Amino acid sequence: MTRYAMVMDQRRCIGCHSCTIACRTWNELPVDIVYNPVVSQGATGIWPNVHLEFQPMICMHCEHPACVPACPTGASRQDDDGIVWVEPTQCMGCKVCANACPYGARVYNEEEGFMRKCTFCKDRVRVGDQPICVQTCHQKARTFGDLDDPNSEVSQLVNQYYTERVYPELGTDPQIYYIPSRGRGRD
Amino acid sequence: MQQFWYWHIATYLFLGGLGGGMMTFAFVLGVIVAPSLLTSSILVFPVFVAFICLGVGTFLLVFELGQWKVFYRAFVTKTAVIKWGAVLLSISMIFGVLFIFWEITWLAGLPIIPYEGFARACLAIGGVAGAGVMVYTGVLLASMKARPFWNTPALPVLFAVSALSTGAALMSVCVGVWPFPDAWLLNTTMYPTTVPAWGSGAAALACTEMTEWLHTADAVLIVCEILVLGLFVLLQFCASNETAKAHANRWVRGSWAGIFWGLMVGCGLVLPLCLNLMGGVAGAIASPILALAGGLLLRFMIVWSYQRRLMPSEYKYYTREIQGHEPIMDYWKKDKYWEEI
Amino acid sequence: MTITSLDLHAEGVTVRKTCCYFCHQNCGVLAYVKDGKVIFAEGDPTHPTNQGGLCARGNQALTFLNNPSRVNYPLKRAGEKGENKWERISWDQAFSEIAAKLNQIKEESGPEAVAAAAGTLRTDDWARRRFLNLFGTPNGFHNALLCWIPTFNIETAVSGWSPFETDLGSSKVIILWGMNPGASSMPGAHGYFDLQRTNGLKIIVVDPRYTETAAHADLWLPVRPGGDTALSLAMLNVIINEGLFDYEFVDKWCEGWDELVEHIQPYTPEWAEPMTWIEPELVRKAARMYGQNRPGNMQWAPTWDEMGRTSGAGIHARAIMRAICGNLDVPGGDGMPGPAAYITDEEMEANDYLPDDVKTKQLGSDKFKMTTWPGYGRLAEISKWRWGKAFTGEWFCEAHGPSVFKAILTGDPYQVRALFCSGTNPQSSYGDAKMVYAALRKVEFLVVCEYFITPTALQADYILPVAGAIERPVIHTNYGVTDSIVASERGIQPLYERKTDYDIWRGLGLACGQSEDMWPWETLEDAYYYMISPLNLPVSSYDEFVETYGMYYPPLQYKKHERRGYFATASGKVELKSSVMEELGLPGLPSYLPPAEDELDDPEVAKEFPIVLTTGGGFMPYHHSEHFNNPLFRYIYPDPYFTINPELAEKLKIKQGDWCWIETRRGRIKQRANVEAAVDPRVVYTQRGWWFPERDQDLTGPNPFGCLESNTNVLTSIDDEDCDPYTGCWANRGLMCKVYKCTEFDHEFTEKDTEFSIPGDDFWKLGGGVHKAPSEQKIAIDFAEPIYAQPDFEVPEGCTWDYKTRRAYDANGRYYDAGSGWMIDPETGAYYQYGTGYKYVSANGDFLLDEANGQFYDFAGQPSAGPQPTFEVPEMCVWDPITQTARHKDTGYRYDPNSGWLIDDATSVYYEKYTLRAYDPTTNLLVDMQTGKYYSMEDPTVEVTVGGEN
Repeated sequence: MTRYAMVMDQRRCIGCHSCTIACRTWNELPVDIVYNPVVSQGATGIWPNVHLEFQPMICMHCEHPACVPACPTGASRQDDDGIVWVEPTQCMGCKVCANACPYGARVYNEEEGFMRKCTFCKDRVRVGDQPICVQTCHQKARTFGDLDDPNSEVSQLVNQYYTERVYPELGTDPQIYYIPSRGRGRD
Repeated sequence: MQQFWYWHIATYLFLGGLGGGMMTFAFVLGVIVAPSLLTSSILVFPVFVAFICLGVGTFLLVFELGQWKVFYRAFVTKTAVIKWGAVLLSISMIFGVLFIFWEITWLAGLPIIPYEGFARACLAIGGVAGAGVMVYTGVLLASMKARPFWNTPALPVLFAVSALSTGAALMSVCVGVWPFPDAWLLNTTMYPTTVPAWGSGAAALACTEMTEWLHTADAVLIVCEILVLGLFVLLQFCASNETAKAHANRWVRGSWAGIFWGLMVGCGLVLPLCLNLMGGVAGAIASPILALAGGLLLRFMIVWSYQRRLMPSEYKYYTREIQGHEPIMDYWKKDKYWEEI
Repeated sequence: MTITSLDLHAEGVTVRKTCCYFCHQNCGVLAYVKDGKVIFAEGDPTHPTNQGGLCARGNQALTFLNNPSRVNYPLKRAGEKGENKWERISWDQAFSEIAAKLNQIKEESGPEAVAAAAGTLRTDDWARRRFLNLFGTPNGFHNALLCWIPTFNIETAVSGWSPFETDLGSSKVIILWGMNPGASSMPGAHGYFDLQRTNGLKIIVVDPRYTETAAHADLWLPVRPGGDTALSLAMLNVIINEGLFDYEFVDKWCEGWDELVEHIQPYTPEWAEPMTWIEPELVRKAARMYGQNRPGNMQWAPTWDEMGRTSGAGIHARAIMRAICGNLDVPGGDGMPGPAAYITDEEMEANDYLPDDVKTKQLGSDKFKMTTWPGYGRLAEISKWRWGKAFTGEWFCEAHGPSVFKAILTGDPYQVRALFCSGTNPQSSYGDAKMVYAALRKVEFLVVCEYFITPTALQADYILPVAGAIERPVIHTNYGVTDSIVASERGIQPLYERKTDYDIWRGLGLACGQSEDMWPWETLEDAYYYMISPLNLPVSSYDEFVETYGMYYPPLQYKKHERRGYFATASGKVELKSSVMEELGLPGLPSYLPPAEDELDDPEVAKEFPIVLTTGGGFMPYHHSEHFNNPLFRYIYPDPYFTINPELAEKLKIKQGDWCWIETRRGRIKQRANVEAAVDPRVVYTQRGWWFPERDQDLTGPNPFGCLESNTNVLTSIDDEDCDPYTGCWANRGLMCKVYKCTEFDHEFTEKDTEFSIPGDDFWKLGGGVHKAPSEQKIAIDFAEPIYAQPDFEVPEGCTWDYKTRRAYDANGRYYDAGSGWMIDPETGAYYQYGTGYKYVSANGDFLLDEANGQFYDFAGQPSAGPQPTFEVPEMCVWDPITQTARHKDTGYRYDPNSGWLIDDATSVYYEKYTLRAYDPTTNLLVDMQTGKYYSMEDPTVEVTVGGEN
């Protein structure tokens, strides 16, 4: 079995937004739609003892997504390899999934009328390329791969380093793993 | 930030609850409390109004969809909350219409389906489905674990109580203002038929009794709603989640405190209760209208308390994101420099 | 309704190796082209710079290519200036009209009345320079004075060539001084942090902000903006006094050490503390970390060149620091590229065609000499003398931009009447933006080569559409000063009627009457092919070079000074005390000059403007004043933000997101508050470049496109006194300001806010207007009497001292070698006897040769037969003592005593000495060149038949 997952190395991420823009270009997104913002609080702490960290957000492609069961039409679905996506022709645009998603990963544009979300670039992945956000990351902060393959880079990173996930307590089992830039994650 | 539902959905939730509540009351009155009413014309108008509420609500829902042409898909797949809502809504509406159809044909002396049991069944199915709809409006929001202020079991209870209270209020108005005692219907029918045991006088009496019964029920329900609302807000205050707390704060002592205390609690609950207890025209007309407005306001306030739980970093990102920058968006869309060249 | 999906591997999709063109890195980009259309562009995984990655700017290449607001045709102003009304014209018309106007101005006011600004490595700059040189004006300029050029020229004066190539492989320490690769050069950042984890590289970050990069540092020095020079001097002081330098290197390769040691003594860390806000102990720690970890790097950053008055001395101090720690041109140190094997930008520029008398008219060359013709000319002369190649004239030798704008406004020292702007938006990028706005409004003739209608282009008379990324081939040679090439081709021909800058300059040059012989290359690819031709690679076109090689890296050579015996300086050593600076009347050793404004020297200013302002750091995803019309970017970053510490924000009652005024002596702007602990509580940091392309409804107001409203350059100073006296870079950092919230009654940027004064510093007291003519303004120091290098030996009679090469030459061009007392020919290295001029010949004994008549003498002055052969000369040969060879009597073939054969020096063919038959290596036979018959090697008399040829 294949289980796609992504590791975000926050020790490397410098918040340049290139993944955001690359994603918008590849997926030809409408101007007001962003799949994967890079967020940061800015420097925190008391000057000059401060810390700066960036967090690339993206659809968590949860093992137990909140959005898929919420969808009344079946347009929202999860493939066997874990990729959660929306079939635009079947989506009626009720936005219930967007309300259900704890990560803000679903985005909607009035003019299009269907829900959009990150697809892990499944059109690229299935011809053997990396998702565009991974390919374009010049800091190599993003790693994409098969978590079920113990030799894959993502498996090794997840097993080797302390990782964090966003809101795992909601029971969604998110599949984006963050290696934080401080605390236990710092090597 | 991250708001997806606006006035359509708030109104829909209100109308769905209201219609569902009225259907429930029609069922309770026509089947359980006073089965004899089944064959009078009294229930036709409330059920029709309930149907209109549900219909308008459904229209708003569909109108709000991005691709309404595929809305039928809501019926063909899966077990999503919203799908059950749609099913219940449809059942309630269909059986409401069937009931009206039966009643009119019956009273008009054209008994196409000459069984009272059919009417009772329609009312029962429509009423139970209506009860389902009013609970569903709360469950729909409460199932969103992404939205802490909604994600509480108290919300369906609150919505259900509010739906019942507004349902009782509107029903009492419908019954109270129903100008046509059965006599009118009877006198104008072309064919004398199985006339109810009690005449038009009895029907008028039933109207008054029923209105009073509904007024009493409404008063009780408003008291319940005040209690449930208090409980709901208190629970949100004690929530483990900062977002829910922030919303509760906004309601009770933040920027919405005036609306909450003055309009919702004051004019939407306490004042109708007082007027209700005072009775008279104020009790018959003003109290239900205020209660209805309060119910609508409640749905708006809840829907606008949509905030997803955000990390501080996300919060900073979204406050910085484009808002009120239409010129930038327009600039991108136009090709104007070169059109004239 | 549906989501389209691209198939990059589909039939008919070709992949072109283009490059990103949105900053200097020129990362590799693969452009997928189908039916002449670019369907997608992504990072090139094989490219040395980015290895498949791309930053936000690179990723928006397609949006940029097809942006509906791009200028696609030559435009001529149709309405009033600034009205944004245009008429589309043909290229022919554009060239002929512009050329006619330029020639008219040249006729009336001289060629120097035409000035030209350009963007940074975003135009074909050598072509621009070529045009300007052939046209005859010295007034080309970039924002180069704020970016590397001061550093390059000062470091070149010290060590012969700027050691800018960080060679990180085995490096132990790197100082990222004012550099935030985390936001400005992503590919670099990746390398640093990787090496930090894997190689134990120590990273020292000097930055007043807590940046993306500082977040990763081993040691972070939060310096006061503008305090960098004091910090450099203090670190240098610690390195020298604690003996952290490389003794051997200093001893062998440095000049001026003793004076330096004495000079640096007052600059202790304690002295520096008030200027730098850094504890002395931290300075010592940094100095030790840098001095004790060798080899080390120091990474240049634009900050070095953006502090105005204080910049030059700091650059000089850091150049010294690099050198004395022994990091120059060593593995893991500050690499110096060798002279390039290809034809450099400098050779393409035709600088020789610019007459000397015009060079003296270059604006600013009387004040800021290191980066104008006086300094550049001298440095280039030394480079050419030592290395055969010089660094580029474009960028490294430029008119002083602000002086050009002042000349437009005041006519002082002469009226500049025409201005070219190529790929630059001076409105946003030059200091004192209000004055620049007035200059752009006033200049008689403005031509702009641009992608978009920028605030500058808005004021233009002509706008010429330029080809951008993917539409042009690019050679990346790091401004023409490195020895490697990274090349890329175009993905498609320019869309619409866009042209590359080269085509524009060539077309304009020809239209101005320049000879076609001066512009022999019809396309940019032809010119690039010419540039790479000396590499002798087996390629027949430039595109083939890109596709086969893509890059050219010469074999890595370290310690070139040891191999050659000299650095490319006048003295051949690292000149800690720079002779070139002394020749120009500048101090030879770095002396502290305070920044343009600080609380210690200007208490009166600090009272009114108590907060330290630093401006202009890069921030993603924008680049300079670019991309503000890109909705992909604006959507996620729509407003300008200045950074303020929560502590200060609380004091000023400013909350996150509040619009605030930031005011200096020169004017005020508004930006929104970003409250975070990224800066010191005494500092605010404003973003640069902001203008608002969407505000295009009413462009007639005082502030079209909001180009002044949030423009941080309204705050910066270009007054001559605030500029660096070495290089003229103006003051962007370490200024004093005040910050206050926009109120209901004071939130509009009004006409009053656009008033300006010359000099700008007088604005707060005297208001708008010209209070002092530019030529009356002084610079921060007084020029000293030029000091020229003097001989440390007695110049013999008949010889004259040349300070430029530090040699005493005789009439024959030979110089006197004080050590031996002989004369040396600089071309051949041969020795000649002083006095007689006889050449010294050492061959089987020592002789002197009178080259005039071929007569040999011995050392006693007696005629001699000259060198004698060491082998037996065969009978058919004659000995020639001058060339010390035996040659055949008739043919002149040289006799090779080792093989016993005769060799024709011209053809290297071997001949049998008796028969004079040539050796044919393919058949291993002898051949008679006259008859073509073959003979056996064993017996030359036996004729041999070879495969039917006979």
